[in-house]
Order: sequence, then structure tokens, then C-alpha cells
Amino acid sequence: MGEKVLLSSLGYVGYVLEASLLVYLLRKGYARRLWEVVFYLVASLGLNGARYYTLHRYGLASPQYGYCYWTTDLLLVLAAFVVVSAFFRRACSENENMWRHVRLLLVTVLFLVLGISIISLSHHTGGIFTFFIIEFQQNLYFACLVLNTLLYLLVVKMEVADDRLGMLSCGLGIQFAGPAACLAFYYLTGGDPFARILTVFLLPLCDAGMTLTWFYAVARVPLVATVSRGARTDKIVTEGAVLHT
Amino acid sequence: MVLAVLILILSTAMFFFYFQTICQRILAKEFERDYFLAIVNANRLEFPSVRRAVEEFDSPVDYARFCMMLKCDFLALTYLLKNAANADHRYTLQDRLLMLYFQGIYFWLHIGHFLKLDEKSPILRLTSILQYFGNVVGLRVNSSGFKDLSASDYLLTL
Repeated sequence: MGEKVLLSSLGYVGYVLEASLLVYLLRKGYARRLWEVVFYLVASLGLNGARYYTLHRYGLASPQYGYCYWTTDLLLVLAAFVVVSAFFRRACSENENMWRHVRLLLVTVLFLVLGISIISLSHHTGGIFTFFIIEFQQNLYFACLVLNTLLYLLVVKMEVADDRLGMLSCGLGIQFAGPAACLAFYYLTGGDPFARILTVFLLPLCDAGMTLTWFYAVARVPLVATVSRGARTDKIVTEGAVLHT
Repeated sequence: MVLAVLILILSTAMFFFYFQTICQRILAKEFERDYFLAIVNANRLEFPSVRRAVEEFDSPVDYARFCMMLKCDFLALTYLLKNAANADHRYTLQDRLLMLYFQGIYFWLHIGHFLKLDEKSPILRLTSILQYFGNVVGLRVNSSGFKDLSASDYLLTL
């Protein structure tokens, strides 16, 4: 009973944080500039809304809720993959040649993950909504985590002037690393109760961690004009202020 | 099976990497001036001398003494974060995150000491967190209408 209440509270805190960040972005007029963040938040809130509707309509033990849960989870990972790709595009905005290579890498990774998961499914036929989705999600989470780490290193190495991008990327890193580790642990232990509890508690916590990091990035980190640091002058005009470097 | 083990190990390592990177990015925030100096002087905090000893002198780290000094400074600064020029008397989320980071590095310092690993790097990180806390407290005191009082005078009123 206590576990359920705590889990529901964590879930609601996560949704409130996401909704607050979305409202903040829209009110501050950042919707176009940070469309990736808005896209992910809308997708997350929408898919979670669909999940809650199914839960109340069909109940926790129903197969419909199970299908909906894993499908929405899968769509969320795919949305996160889109966000990572968009952040790569932003990081490579001044280097079209690099973007061509990165784009090829992103497509290859997606098909590779899909291929590995399908091969794995062929050994466990009949488990598309359990085994396949868990494994595909785990692999895609991990692929996104590796890609996000590459993105972060790219941002640091290329000294991308958009200071928010590094922090947004770190937020995504938290969101990917926690669930990837938990899902792998869950998979390895074969659904052990401890692994299940760890997974169900850590997933919303990582979600909230990402939203808070994004909040910090949006509200506290000044958006610097997108010119490479090498080309920066002594003063760089930021949003309504002049940042001395 | 092997893939899942690899994912578990790497994901856990990356989780801590990102946690640390977020904290380091928050700590990298630049303040207009060294607000922490007034707080250090008013409260006789010792972390600047610990940092100087570690950075400037290539002598072995006095582990027990430095741990005690840093822990005492941490307790003093977290008290000030909560109570000095803070109308809510509550920590912000940022403060809590960095307090957690401090505890994590402090724990790692103990493990490093036990395993005879490098102790200087974690000690320097702990001092940078304390300096950040000092700057936050100093900035709050400075901007909360007590400008006619010195930091020590103000802190005596707490």
C-alpha cells in the first residue's frame, strides 16, 4: 500500500514538473528555440495521459493496460531518440559535413538496435509485448545513452557556444543511464522482486532528475549566441544581458 | 546475457558521470566577486587553507585533520545556507543536490584513503563545493539589505 502511494506520488511529481517546464517554455517564448524539449515534454505528457486513461478504463491487471504501458514506453524511448538526434543537429549546425556523418551514424544505430532485438525475439517467439519490447527498449536506451555521451563529448570538444546544450544533454544522460541500468538488471535477474522495485522507483526519479536539469538549463544557464567560442569577441550578447568573457 | 551485463556496468558508470558533470557545471557558475571571503573570515572557515596546503605544498595529505576541517566547514555552511538571509529557511534543490554531491565525494575520499588512492583530487573537489556554498551565502547576505553591516556583524545576529 505504502509502495503504491509513494510510486503514485513520484509519478505525479514528475508530471507536474514536466507540465510546469512546458508552461514555462511556452510563456517565455522558448517553444520554437527549444522545440526538442517541448516535443519531448508534449510526447511524455500525452503518452502518460493515454496510459492513465487505459488504467482507469481497463484496470491494472488488464491486458489492454499492459499493451498500452509497454507501447507508450516504447514510443517515449523513440521520442528520446528523436531528441538526441535533434541535439546532434543543433551541435553540428556550423559543420554540415560532420552532420552528414552523424546522420548516417544515427540511422545505422537505430537499425542495428532493431536488428539485434528482432534476432533476440526469434529465440523467444510469442513475447512481443514482454520480451521484445523490454529488450528493444533496453538496447535503445543504451544506444541513446552512448549517442548522448558522444553528443556531450562533441559539445565539449567543439566548444559549441550554446551553453544550454551541454546541460540539456546531461539531463538526457540521467534519463537514459538510470533506466538502461535498471532494465538490464531486471533482465539479468529474470524479473526478481528487488529488481522490479528498483526499476519502478528509479524510472520516475530519473524522469524527474532530467526535468529538473532541463529546468535549470532553461532558467539559469544563459543562452549564448550560437557562434563558436573561437570566434567569440570580448562581449557576447545574451538574452537581454551582456556576458563578459 | 553478455550484452546485458555490459549495459548494466556502463550505464551505472555513465549515471554517476552525468551526475558529477551536472554538479560540476553548477559549481562552474561564476560570481561577480569572491563573496565567500567575507563568510570565511567571519566564521573562521578552514577550507581555503586546506586547499592551499593541498595545491601548494607537495607534502602528504593530513587525512584525518583535513576531513575534520572540511566536515566542520560543511556543517557551518549548510547551516548558513538554510538560515542566513534566507526567508524560507529551506534549502533550494540546487543546494540539496550539491550537499548530496559533497557527501558522495566525502564517502569516496574515505574509500580512496582505505584503498590508498589519490586523496588530493577529492579534497580539492570538496573545497570547491564549500567555496560555492560560501559564495551563495555571501551573495545572499550582500543582496538582502544588510549592506551597512559587515558579514560578521550580520552573522552574529543569527
